[in-house]
Amino acid sequence: MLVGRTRSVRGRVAYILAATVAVTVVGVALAALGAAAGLWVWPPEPSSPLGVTLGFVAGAIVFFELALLGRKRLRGYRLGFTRVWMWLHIWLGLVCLPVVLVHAGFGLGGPLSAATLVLFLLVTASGIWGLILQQWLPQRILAQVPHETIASQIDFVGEYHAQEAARLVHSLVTVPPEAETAEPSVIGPQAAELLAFLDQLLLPYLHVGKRSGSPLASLTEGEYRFTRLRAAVPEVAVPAVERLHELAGLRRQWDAQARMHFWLHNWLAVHLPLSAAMATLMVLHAVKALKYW
Amino acid sequence: MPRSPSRDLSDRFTGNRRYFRRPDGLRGGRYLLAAVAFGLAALWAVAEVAAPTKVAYSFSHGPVASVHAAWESDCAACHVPSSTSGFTAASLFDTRTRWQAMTCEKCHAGAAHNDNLTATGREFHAQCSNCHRDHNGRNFSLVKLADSDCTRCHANLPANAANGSPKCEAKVTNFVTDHPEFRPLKSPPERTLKFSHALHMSPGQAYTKGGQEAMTVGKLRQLSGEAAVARYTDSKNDADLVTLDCASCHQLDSEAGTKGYDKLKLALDAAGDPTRSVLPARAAGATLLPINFEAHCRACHPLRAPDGAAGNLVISGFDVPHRKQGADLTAEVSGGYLRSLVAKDHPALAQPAGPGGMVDQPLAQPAATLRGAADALTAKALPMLTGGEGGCAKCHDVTPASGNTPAKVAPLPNHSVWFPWALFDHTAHRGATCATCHPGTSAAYAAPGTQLVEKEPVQILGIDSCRACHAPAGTKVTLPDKTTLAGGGVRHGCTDCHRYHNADHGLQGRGAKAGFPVKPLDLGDFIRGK
Repeated sequence: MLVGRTRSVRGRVAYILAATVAVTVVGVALAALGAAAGLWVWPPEPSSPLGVTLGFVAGAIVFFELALLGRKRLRGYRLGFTRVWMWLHIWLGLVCLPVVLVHAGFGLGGPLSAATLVLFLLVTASGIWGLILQQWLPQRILAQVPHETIASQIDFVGEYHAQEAARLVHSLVTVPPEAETAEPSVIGPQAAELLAFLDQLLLPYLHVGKRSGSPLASLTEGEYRFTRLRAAVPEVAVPAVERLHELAGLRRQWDAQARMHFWLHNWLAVHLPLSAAMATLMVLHAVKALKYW
Repeated sequence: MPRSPSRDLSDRFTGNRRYFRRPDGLRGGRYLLAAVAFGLAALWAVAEVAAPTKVAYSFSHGPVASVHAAWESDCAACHVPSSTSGFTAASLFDTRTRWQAMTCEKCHAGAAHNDNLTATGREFHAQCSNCHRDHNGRNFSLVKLADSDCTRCHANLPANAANGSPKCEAKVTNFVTDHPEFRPLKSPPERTLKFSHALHMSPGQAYTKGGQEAMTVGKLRQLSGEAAVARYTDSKNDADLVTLDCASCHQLDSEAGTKGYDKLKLALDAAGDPTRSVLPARAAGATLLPINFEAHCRACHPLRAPDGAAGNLVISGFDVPHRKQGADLTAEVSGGYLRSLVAKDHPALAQPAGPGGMVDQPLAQPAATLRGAADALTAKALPMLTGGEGGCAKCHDVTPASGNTPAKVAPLPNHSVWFPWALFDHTAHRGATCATCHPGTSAAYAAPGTQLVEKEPVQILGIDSCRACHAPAGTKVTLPDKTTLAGGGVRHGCTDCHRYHNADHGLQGRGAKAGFPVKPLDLGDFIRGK
């Protein structure tokens, strides 16, 4: 979700960081003002009425944040606008930071509360990191991957293109039974080179992309190889070679897309598990804290 | 017919239309990690349920003080266990108070401080943990409190006293800045004992240099025998003067096992006095052992009934016990003379029994004669015993006898502890000479034409002398010779000198019954924290 009203990536990132700091400072300052007015002590005590109240508030926010997961699983039920959910998820998450800090009295406490607080800070940090990446990478993918496909299906589509490439090459070096001509379009050493290019360089690359170790993963090397191939085959095979060139180019784009997609979403591999652990420990912390202080 | 680009794109997924139903590695991985994280957190919860005691300890704010270390992991030994009974929504916000509900009185009686408190003060003081904060480490002192714990009331005591008029200083916030002068120095008590330290520290305890009244070894031997001589001097020369020092009378410990102890014990034994009562084992050392006549005065100031005569008989004097006066003293003296008269075979004892007398009947006439002789001797002796020449009035204020009313000795107030409302440890200050804090206790003769003041003022320097050390570091100290140096730095908190509990009884120590629990526990229950 894009935040802020600027089109500049830097502007949006700066906006997020400034908002995080501002919300935290304002929250802590309000608590300090309350203490100065004699409403509670400073530093705040987790077990004071203020501390317990803020603990409940923070717990409610955390549960709401977790509800986003349910909202995604039940997206068919249209439980409110996704944009509204995300907006609340982001801003309540930021507001929760000073609430938790004041609730904790700026301390770690015992092992359970310390673990819960550290997990909360990691969850918040990973969320902010993810939000920053979302301001930058989608725009970058849009610019650098004009033929973007479904990221999880890149290998599947690569397989599809590999079959197409194999059909193209074989149609040049072999004669189908129903054909009227007696000789294939490309014969002799040229056919051998074309087949070698297909089997050794192109097909592995189309199947698994950069992981194949094919030189075609490099734009420069790929261009060089295709230029040589284009010069080596007869004129009749050039359109097919151009198509092979195009398929290799698509795969190269998807390699880039896969890399950016990984960075766009890998923070969730931290954010989600830590959120699950934090929420569990938070419930435990609440029960034990109310029992033991 | 050319294929549309859209068809070209969609054909890629032929046979794979439901790909979105299958999670990819990234999505599946994060759900797997989430499940693992949840599982780990759930394991923590299981551990909490399986080992509640250890887990409860994990909520501890820190190690308890060493005196409570046996109950380190047993919260319920000191804290009132939590319970769902009486649980309300409001109690959710009252966890701190609930957790501060302690059961200290199981082991500590916690005698009250002062009843003159407002309701708020009473409520505050009902919670031990408001002042005694444990879980601050093994070596943390639970009784050395911050001044703020005391000044929350003592900075404005009238506002915190139930009747608005406290018995002590209305405002004290700090020992250095506004602590008042010590009470016995500000309002000295009337002295009823005539005792001059200066005189007794002079060689021979003489009023003037070379005075004939000086106590020599020979005189001491004559008065109290060899044991007394051995106690006070190593000299064998009868002409040498007896010279005392502070430790001749003032002791912090019985010094059992030393020659000094043996000498004192010998001197007391020689007079038939018990020793253990005046030489207690392992005295705490904070206050000096009490001074008493038998141990510290009698060697030079023996109480003796004077020699006398009954007819031709010469009756020798005898020792009279201290602390007797009035009828008791008369009876002691009379009895002593009677014993002497009998021992000397007074002629009345030779008179035959009256006619018809029986051997087990009292010999009325001889008895009356003996009684008369003893009474006569007693009547002459009593004025001397209660008078100022070696009698009671030598040291005490005595109301002379009048008619049938015998002489009366004014009682001595108990000044074995001069500052009953504060703690002072002489042992902690043994690095300094006695005279550092007790002026006027060094040897000094009376100036020509004057007399020594025998009823001394309280010979203790005031609070400023304490502040030379017990003040912030760098405090300027002016020495008697008017030079100055930087002193201070030694602790000067309220609880360094004052106690809270049982403070109404300043002369009671740690062993006072007020500090005992109502129901002491046996070893098992004690260790279990029952």
